[in-house]
Amino acid sequence: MGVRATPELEILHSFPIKADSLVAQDPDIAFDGGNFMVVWSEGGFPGEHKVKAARVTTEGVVLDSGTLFGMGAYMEYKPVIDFDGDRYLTVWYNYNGVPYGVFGRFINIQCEPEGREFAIRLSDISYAFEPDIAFGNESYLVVWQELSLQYDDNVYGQIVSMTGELIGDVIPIATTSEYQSYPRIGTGTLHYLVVWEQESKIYGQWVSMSGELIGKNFAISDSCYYNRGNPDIAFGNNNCLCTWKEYHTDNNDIYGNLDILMQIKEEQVKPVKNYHGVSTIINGPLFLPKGKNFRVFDITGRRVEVNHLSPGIYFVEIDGTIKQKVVKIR
Amino acid sequence: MEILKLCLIFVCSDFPICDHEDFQYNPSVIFVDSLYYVFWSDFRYSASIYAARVKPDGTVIDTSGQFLYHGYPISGARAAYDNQNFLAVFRDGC
Repeated sequence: MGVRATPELEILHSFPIKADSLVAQDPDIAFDGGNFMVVWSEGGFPGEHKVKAARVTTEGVVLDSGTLFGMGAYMEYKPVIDFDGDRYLTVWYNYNGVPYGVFGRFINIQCEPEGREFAIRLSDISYAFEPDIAFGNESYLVVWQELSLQYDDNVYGQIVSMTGELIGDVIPIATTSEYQSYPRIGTGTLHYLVVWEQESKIYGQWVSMSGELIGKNFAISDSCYYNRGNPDIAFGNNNCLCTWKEYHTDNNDIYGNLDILMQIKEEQVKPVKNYHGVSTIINGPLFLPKGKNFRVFDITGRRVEVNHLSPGIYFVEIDGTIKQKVVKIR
Repeated sequence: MEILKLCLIFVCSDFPICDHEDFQYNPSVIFVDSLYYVFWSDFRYSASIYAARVKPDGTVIDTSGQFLYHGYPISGARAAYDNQNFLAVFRDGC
């Protein structure tokens, strides 16, 4: 089904995109500037499922009855789709029927599959990979969950070019011993943010457009114990909103957290651990002589403003060299 | 020594987007113009699709959610924007 709504969330009309006796499930949608493209998995219950696609106009007219784009495996599930400015790439997983794994295929804006389907991740076992896809500046990021040898879920990713080539190796996004599942991708200007559920919390990982991990896995939801899941993520102009379901007071609610991406910058600094000078203990403001090029760092190496120091340990750099350790007690 | 400087700042703590007394789950979110739009499955009147607008500062405009569809859409909705309106798609029924 589909429902059209205004930006004020007023209902325009609802309509079936595919209505027959078969089960049509797991739809996803993207827009190419002219029409929407909707993909879904369709089949009997129980029985084989195939991935299909149809265009829908901006007026809600369904133009296609369901174009097959999969590879004919017995159960093709959870198709996801994004648009790269020229055509769509859709990704799904084969649940029952070899080859198992995550697969992709391009679809043009006339809803015609282009080229052959291709493997993004092959597996020896049948598994619910639950993939997601997002287009960045010049390529796609595909993520999925996967059963590890220790029988816990991990999250992996793969950069895919606009011509369907796999760029680089599989990216181990979240591979600690905890269960990590249901990954979703948000696309920022310079980076992807992959979010997932991890033992009742929501975690994230920055990934560069070329597939390098930036920093480590970090918690997005707070440390309070609530049962959380089904995360999603979207980027705005200056921040991003991560949403999830959260179990409160006998039912699930919708929660979120707003995050701001600041500049990510790597720089070479002299290690403060090699400082062997005498510490200065101060009680009040830190006064620095004029006429020299001073910088002040905290113990993590982060630069701080001298006028905004809280009690703690600081290092004073003069002309590029750490010269003084300062312990501010009040 | 290589230092990875500031990556992320959480500007606010976790906050409810919809905490109506009945079940809400399977949210999805997209950003359009200057607002976030969150869509989810909701069980307050049997199964339905609801949505809410969230400002970039975290203010929830539609605090109870806006009703969009009633049927049996239990798996959430995915939405896209055509520069004028939204189309949200979802599985309805079994």
